[in-house]
Amino acid sequence: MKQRSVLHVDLDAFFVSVERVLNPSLCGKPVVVGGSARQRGVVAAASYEARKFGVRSAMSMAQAMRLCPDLTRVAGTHQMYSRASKAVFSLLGNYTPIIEKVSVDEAYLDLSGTHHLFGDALDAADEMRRRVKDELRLDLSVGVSTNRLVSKVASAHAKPFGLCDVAHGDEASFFSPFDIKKLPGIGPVTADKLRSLNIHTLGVLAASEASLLQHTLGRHSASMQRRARGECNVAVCPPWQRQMAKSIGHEQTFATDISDVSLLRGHIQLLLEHACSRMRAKSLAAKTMSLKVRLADFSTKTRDLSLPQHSDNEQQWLKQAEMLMDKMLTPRSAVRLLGVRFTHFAENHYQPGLFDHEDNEQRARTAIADELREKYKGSSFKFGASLWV
Amino acid sequence: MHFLVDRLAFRNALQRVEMGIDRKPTNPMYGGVLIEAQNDSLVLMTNDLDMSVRYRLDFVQVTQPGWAVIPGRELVDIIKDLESDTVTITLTKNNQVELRAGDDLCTLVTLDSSNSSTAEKSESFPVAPSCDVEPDVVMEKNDFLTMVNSTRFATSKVQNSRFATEGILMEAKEDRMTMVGTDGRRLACILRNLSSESSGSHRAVLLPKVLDQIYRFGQDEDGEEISIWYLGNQVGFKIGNLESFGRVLTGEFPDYSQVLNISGSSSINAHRESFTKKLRLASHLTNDSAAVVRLKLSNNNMEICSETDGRGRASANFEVDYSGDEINTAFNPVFLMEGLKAAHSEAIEIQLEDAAHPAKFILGNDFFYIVMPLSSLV
Repeated sequence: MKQRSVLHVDLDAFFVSVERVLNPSLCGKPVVVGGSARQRGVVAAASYEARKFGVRSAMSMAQAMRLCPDLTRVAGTHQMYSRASKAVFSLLGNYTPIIEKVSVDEAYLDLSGTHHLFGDALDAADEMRRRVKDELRLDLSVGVSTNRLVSKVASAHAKPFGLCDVAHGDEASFFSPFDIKKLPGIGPVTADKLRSLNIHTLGVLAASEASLLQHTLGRHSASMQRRARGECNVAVCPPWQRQMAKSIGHEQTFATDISDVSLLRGHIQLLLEHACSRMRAKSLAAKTMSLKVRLADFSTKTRDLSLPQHSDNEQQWLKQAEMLMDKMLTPRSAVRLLGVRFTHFAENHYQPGLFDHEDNEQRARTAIADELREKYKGSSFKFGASLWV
Repeated sequence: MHFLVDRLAFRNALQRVEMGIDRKPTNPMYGGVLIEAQNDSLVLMTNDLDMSVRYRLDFVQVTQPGWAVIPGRELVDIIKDLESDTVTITLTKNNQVELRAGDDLCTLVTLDSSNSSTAEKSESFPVAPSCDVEPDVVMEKNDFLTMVNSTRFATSKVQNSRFATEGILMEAKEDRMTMVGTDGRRLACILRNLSSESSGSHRAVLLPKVLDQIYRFGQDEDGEEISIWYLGNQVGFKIGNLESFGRVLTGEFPDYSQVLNISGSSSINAHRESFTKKLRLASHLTNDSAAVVRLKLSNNNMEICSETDGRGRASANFEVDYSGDEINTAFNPVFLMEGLKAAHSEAIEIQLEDAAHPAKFILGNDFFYIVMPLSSLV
């Protein structure tokens, strides 16, 4: 069987890079993108200069500021990141239609069979990096191999702005010296278990006694060993074979804890608007919604509710969600975080009611609201309860 | 209280009142069966506040009259598992009942009891009203049972905050009874004649379990007619020895007449069995996230299509009596199958307007089923 050519592409410190394109004075400085420390913000992206001080993504902004007092914080403009991401993937789409987008700044590409068009996969990857740098002024790191697992590890190894090619047959030797935590799928708990067996590198993991691993790691041990040898047969999934989303959600951490129920209701409405708008964009309607409430003491409660029929309309969810929140809160509860998550989707169709005469009008109103939000962005358009939010 | 009863007859009598036993009673009385023994008959009563059931069992050897409220679930289970043909039940002095069958003996502590005359009733057991006045409505038992079976499947399984769609509407007016079940997305409506003119216009929405109980046991009861009493917050039914009372739901029932009066511009005549078979075939390629079948009507042909991403697609064709413009519409296959299963005749008529308006299925004599088509999210 002919070997596949799979690329993993990853934009380096993507949010920061976009901000630097917009504002070149940020170049060379330790920069982070994220919410302010006063508003309990977290680091969404950190430049390589900031990383030298120990600043990492998902770290609280307050901690990042303590680690690097000269840190420059940028609030971030997500529409701009989305536009930049579209531009990058549009450029990459010139090389292959088989692109599996993993996130806004990361994707797998299958270049198998494009040899006559673009030459060797390594040459094509190098051209991609060069074009993204020249045309969009963004740094792209690329891993090239015969499968997505090795390409993923290779692109991480190549960062920043690097290219790493692992030839067919070299996968196991390439993986061998890496720390076990480099292998996707090995988290802190599994890593601790492996270290307790004196397994520190992927090479040792690959060569370990299968029965020993099975005893400690259970039924996943065999597949983990195969992965540690760089074996992976999961194909790159093109957009037309993509599975339906399993859940769509939105959550918000408040700058200060909120006890005012009417304010919390306003926030629920906003969260539902965001999540339902995303559902509508994907032509989905959900049957179940989970409401997540985190209190000031960090205790977290999650409760589910279902409607008799699928719905993509926030107005149909709102009353039920408010009732559910009332049940979850005690009178003086101070809420730190609210979140909604929709699951159990119906695709492409929804069931209208026989007696819901307002349904069509409501759908028309929602469509106009979606258009306005798309046109004017952000929170320029609000419905009743969310006015004070 | 002391009596000897045939075990199977007693078990059947308990089955008839069993639906009125509250499984998680807030008051222990709602989980009990009141048994009154006198004049060689037993009267069994249950009441869970949603419904109360009374059943008279004759041909019982009552040697000492009396009454007792006995824990319902335990009594039903014990009587079911006893092996002897007869059971002797005795109320002892310490408010316990002994159930003796052959060599087996079970004792149950009563919730309330008396060995004296049955005139002195339990004060805490919620006794159902008596049916000793003229009924408001009398109709053929079989007609009534057909009406129940033709509407109960369409009711909502969950409570609706706007409408009382978890119930079945029973409307009696002049010499007609109308029964309607809807979950807000489809509606089943059936009309039948009364044996005699109704005492006035009556309307009540009842939980399906009340009518289910009558449907389940009414067929076996003596008598060809059912008597119905509209009692304000309750509706009472009587067939033979079985009396049942259901709580009237207070919520608003949707205005069914506005959808019942629709008549699509296109009429299709189809064979129920063929339609069901083709629908079942197509529904193999639907799932919870894509519970959709597309109906495409063209000259004397109906095509039923379904498709699930990543699994495949189905297309089933069969002959119908239709001549008109091509119509494309989509439905939840479960709604269509449930309606077709309840149909009374093999020849059915479908009235369609377009993909945005409800479809009316005429499934028998004065039996209508209206279903809202699915709309596209795209």
